[in-house]
Amino acid sequence: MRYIWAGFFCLLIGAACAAESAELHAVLLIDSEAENIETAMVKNHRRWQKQFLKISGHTGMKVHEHAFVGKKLLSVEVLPFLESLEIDSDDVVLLYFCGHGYRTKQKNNPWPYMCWSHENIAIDLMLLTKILEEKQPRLLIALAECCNNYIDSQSLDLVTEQTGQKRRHIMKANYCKLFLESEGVIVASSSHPGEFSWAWVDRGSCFTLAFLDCIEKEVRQRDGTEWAIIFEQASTKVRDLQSPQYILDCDYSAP
Amino acid sequence: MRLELIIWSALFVGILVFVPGCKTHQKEERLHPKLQEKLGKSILEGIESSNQATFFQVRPKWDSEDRYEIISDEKALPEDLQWLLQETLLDDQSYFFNKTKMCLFVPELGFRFTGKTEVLVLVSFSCRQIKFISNGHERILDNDPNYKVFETNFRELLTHF
Repeated sequence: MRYIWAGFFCLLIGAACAAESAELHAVLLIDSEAENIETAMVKNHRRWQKQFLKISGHTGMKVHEHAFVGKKLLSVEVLPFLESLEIDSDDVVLLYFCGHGYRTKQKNNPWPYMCWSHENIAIDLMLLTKILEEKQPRLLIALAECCNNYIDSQSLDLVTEQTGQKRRHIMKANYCKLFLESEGVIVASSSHPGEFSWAWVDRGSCFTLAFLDCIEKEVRQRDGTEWAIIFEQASTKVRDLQSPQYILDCDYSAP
Repeated sequence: MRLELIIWSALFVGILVFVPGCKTHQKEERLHPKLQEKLGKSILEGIESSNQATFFQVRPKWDSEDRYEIISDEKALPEDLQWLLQETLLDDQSYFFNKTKMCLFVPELGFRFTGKTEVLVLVSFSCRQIKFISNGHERILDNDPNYKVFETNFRELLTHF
């Protein structure tokens, strides 16, 4: 009898996730031409692509990866794309940038300018966030992995085959909570104003690695998880190097 | 006899103390295996063999191939500062080798070493990074472990212009 109830419960969770038509739009801005950190940026991209397979596998969400990498990271390409991106009210949007970043004393928000090397321009994270926020996705995650230091001139827990069905369902439920049941806006950058952001030359950026590691760890929690925990833990992981900042205006009331 | 013994003992002790003392004034060969791996022997020799370094003011020029431009005259670096600069630049302990900052390199101060090979060294105080340029090769290293040496001793060179 107990097994019947367990099976019914699992079917219920599975059906709930599958019934959703929400999609994940991942806009990846990868500056693989950023001087001195080219290899790490390419690694970040690959890490995200692996994570998308897991998100899709566990939630049933269709993941649309829109990647602008290296020479294709151009304002004339990205801005019109963001403006024209069609997003349903139940969709999740991930805006992710990795490359060089900075800020000036005059900048009046805490988010960094993102440097796009091929074009030699810098774009405020907030600008792109607002374009996407106006489309009112259910959940928007805007994350800039770059330095946020002042300048004077303008200017992975190894993922193995799961040991049992139970753990598989815990992961599925947690992925669903993070990407299907949450709504709101999350804005984050990998360092506070005035700080540097660090990258392991041969592995990827420190915060991206910590953030993805925390997702991997948290989706295995029996008691559930939430974005606040993930951001807090990821920040703790890199606290000796940098202090990530984030605003979570997010709740889990979505069906 | 006793006086002679005292004199010879004094001479022997003197030799023991004086000879090793002299050795410390000899130029010791620097060992910097990590730097050599990152920068190559040529750049290190260029810095080490230079007798006269110059310094100048520099700023970014993003649309140029070099991404920087020199905006001042070059001035001779005082001997004591040149010694300090060479010691600091040629020390493995001055840099991080396994991690780097995602920082836009904004050069502010430059040094030119004219030894066996000409080497340009650009300093970004805002990034705490140093760019080595020689024979068309460039390399940026994070000098956080010793950035205070640069802040204390070399930033003021910018006031000379």
